[in-house]
Amino acid sequence: MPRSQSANATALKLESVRETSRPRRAKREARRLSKRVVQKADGRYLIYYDKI
Amino acid sequence: MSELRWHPLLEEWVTVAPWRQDRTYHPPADHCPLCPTRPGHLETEIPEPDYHIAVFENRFPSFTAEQGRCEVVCYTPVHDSSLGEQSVEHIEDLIEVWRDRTDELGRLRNVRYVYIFENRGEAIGVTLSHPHGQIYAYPFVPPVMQHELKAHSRHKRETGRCIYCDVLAGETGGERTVLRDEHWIAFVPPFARWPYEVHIAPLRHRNGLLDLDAEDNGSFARILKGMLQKYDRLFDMPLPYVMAMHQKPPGRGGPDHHFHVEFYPPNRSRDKLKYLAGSELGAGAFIVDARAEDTAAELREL
Repeated sequence: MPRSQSANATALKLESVRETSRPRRAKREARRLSKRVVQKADGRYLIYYDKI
Repeated sequence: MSELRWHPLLEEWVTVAPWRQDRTYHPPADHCPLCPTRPGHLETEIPEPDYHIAVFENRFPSFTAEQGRCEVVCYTPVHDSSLGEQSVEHIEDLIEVWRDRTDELGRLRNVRYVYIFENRGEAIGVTLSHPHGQIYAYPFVPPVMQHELKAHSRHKRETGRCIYCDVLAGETGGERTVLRDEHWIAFVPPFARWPYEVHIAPLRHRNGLLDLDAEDNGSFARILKGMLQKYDRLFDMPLPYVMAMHQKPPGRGGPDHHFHVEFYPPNRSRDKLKYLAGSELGAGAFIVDARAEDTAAELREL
């Protein structure tokens, strides 16, 4: 983050390129939940996590 | 979108989000927006008549669009319940949800930190009593995490070791231990700033939720539930607290950290709260009127 920004220093300033690859994951148990994403009338998302 | 203003003296961001002034404030239980929608009643945030665990974008977000995200995590459809009342199996499911959100939000272009937390109780300022937590995906690394990451980095450079691993090594005597098993520990740190502050942490070095394996998850769920049950037995009432998860920032090659969960209950007794006042707020210097060793012993015996 640039430290000299003042008012209106919004996220536009934050769009520097960031590495997108992910850290190596630990071995995990199988997924326990299914995931269902729906869009609400006002455009926000809602995610249901259900037992598999 | 919020306006980010730079505090030049403290060198940290202040987020200005005036629309949050209008957020839902202590609705009656039959108008709870986090309950499932009941047939014949007004639609809540969750239109279906039941759910297991649900997550949605906060209607009054501090960060949205390209700035980040603010999410609400509904732990259970049961209104009169709490995180500590969930089964160990359900908490393991919740850990999977927290992990999924950490992964997905951490991939957003401008997100620099994924912070999972819960505010519990009116004393903390909670406006919805339904059991829920929140997630903030910040466009910057928040100051507390920055301090921790800096301390970790310096200690690693000087000693080659993780600073939090060294903190845990200091707990082998058990004087400040509240709960412990083979994989996780709950303890009052010697540097606690709140009388009943507790940290829960994996004994093995783990950077964050994404590093936890199956053994970690089961142990984490058991220790978390056990700790929350002790909290509610402490003064024989639902203890207010802030639960704060500290993990490494997203992205490969970023700074290392040791995942842990911090709890700050404001109570110093059943009917007395510790307030942040002159020294804490004005000078940033905490004065705590209890010894970690004493409060740990008290919690251990519950």
